[in-house]
Amino acid sequence: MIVIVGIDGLEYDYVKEFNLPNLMQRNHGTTDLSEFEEPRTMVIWSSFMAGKNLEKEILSRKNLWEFRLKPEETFFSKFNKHIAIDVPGYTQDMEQHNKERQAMKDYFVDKKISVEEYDELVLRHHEKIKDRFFESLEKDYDIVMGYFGAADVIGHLSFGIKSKMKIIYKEMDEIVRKTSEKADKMIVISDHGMKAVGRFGDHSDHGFWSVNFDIKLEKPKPTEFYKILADLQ
Amino acid sequence: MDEYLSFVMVGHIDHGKSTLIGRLLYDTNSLPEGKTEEIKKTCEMLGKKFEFAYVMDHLDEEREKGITIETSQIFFKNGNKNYVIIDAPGHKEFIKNMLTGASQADAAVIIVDADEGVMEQTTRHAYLVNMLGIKQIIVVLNKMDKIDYSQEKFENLKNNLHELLLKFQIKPTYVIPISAIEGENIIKKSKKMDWYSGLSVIEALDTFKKMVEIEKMPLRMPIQDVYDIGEKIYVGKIESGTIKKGMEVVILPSEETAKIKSLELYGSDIIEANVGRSIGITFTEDVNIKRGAVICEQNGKPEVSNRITANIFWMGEKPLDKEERIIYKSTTQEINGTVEKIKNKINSSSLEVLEEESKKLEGLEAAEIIIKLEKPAVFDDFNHIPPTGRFVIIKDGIVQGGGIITSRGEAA
Repeated sequence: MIVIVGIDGLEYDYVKEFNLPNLMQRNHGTTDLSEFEEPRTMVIWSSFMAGKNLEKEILSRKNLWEFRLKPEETFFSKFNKHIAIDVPGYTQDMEQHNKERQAMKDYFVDKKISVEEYDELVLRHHEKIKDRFFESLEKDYDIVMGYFGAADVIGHLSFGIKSKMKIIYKEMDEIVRKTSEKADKMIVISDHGMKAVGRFGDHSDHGFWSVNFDIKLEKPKPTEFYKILADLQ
Repeated sequence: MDEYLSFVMVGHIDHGKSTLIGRLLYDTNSLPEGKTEEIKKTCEMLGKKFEFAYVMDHLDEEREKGITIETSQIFFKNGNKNYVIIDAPGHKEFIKNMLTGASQADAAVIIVDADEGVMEQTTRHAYLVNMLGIKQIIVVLNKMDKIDYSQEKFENLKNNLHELLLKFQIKPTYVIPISAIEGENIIKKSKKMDWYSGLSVIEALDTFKKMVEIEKMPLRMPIQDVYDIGEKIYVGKIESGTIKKGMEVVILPSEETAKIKSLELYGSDIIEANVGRSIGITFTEDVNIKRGAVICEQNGKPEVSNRITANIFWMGEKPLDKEERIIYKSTTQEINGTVEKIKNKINSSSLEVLEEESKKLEGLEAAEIIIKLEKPAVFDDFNHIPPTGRFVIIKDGIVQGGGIITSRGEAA
């Protein structure tokens, strides 16, 4: 089974600083996002799955979050049995996504909710996704992709509180550790990293990648993984 | 100023140092409110146990921002007793702090994982603790929860440890079975280890006293700078003892004697200054003093010699060779010198004596050395007056080793 653990906003520097061996796997590094105008979540995940830069196409839409790839437009089409859990641009739970965006607005603009309430909304969803992801690993899929948004969504309000982010990162590390028991080949990838702005966090200009197999990659573009996955088939 | 008992917390990586510090701070209500609660809640939401090591992470952040915590020092209070934990983020920083005197500890807590036993860094740190003359030592055998709070395993490990530490005449004052993560035997006695009748960690710390009453020692004031503003003002920090207006002093190494005319602190005249103060002084006579000279009192003068015997610990990536030219730096004295002899070289991890006479000292090795200096140095036996008994060695422009002076050097 091939498994992709997609972790939104996972920052390379924190992974190294917190010394998280499971996230780093056998080979790891940063991704090159220079082909994108800005490190936008929807654009990068969609481009990653399609194997081509979809920035223009996505940004030409009125609401970029409504963009949806068809299975045949993604590397999933190369595999017989596949599942993608909550991946932006493909299978993301939009109701939850809208709730999270509203919660961020409630915190920053309307000051209606606390950080704790915001975190709770995000982490409850995270637990649900985690359950679905691990259930999928027990089934007979050729490829499974799980998408975990907590590091990014919580990071926007708390990336500057390193001690708190370490707990989230250790949770991601534990997910990868457990996944490694089931996966033959595994890719961990983020769309972008983050940088601290006071206690808050903003997207950084590089992403994170790691694999549990031998491959020579310097600073790959997210779109390069399409071919790597096709070759793994 | 309140008196603080300072202690170093040392141990092999992952043996639970951060957790124990976090637990001590948490259980003595010494943590700032706020973010700790946020971290605690995040753990709860993820169904994870709150780890006290996270408290340390939080303190590190505060330290990085320079908000509440001074570099390398964590303050806390238990009842009416004040403590300061001397901490360093990494192994090398710790060794450097210990040897450069950035941290003068009254006591040491050596932490050992009861499940894993003594590891490489445990022995190295124990060696350094001993080298620095720290006699008030608590060894905590942590993670007792992992070995089912077993008395038998504790006793076995304690015996092995005693044997190892005795090699270097280290006799721990207390050996305490603890679980930092569960809070067992940290503040209160553990009910899960009712077979243990000794003190908890905080009770044991409460019995310790300040190691050296440095203010009661003879005066040592190394001169840092001389300002000539019509009248010459000599500036420096008092490393031991007390200086008073009208006092007769001797200036070493020149052996000149002089009388203190005035003392100045932050622009105000004072009549007396104690250890730790940086002050300016003037003399009634003309004296010829430069940076590096040491103002002392007539009784209890330090040693003056161009040869010293010392125990040193080498941290450099490149070795220290016999006959190599180095810079000896102690307080404000910087003197060129040569390594004349390297004796009784040991591996600081295994404590194994490698060579009785050696031609070089590699990184993380310790030895007794004799240094020949180009000019006389003013120093004390470290066990008598620590601040003027410690030094560092500068090679290629950076501090690469440090040590403590044991005596005036014999001729090679």
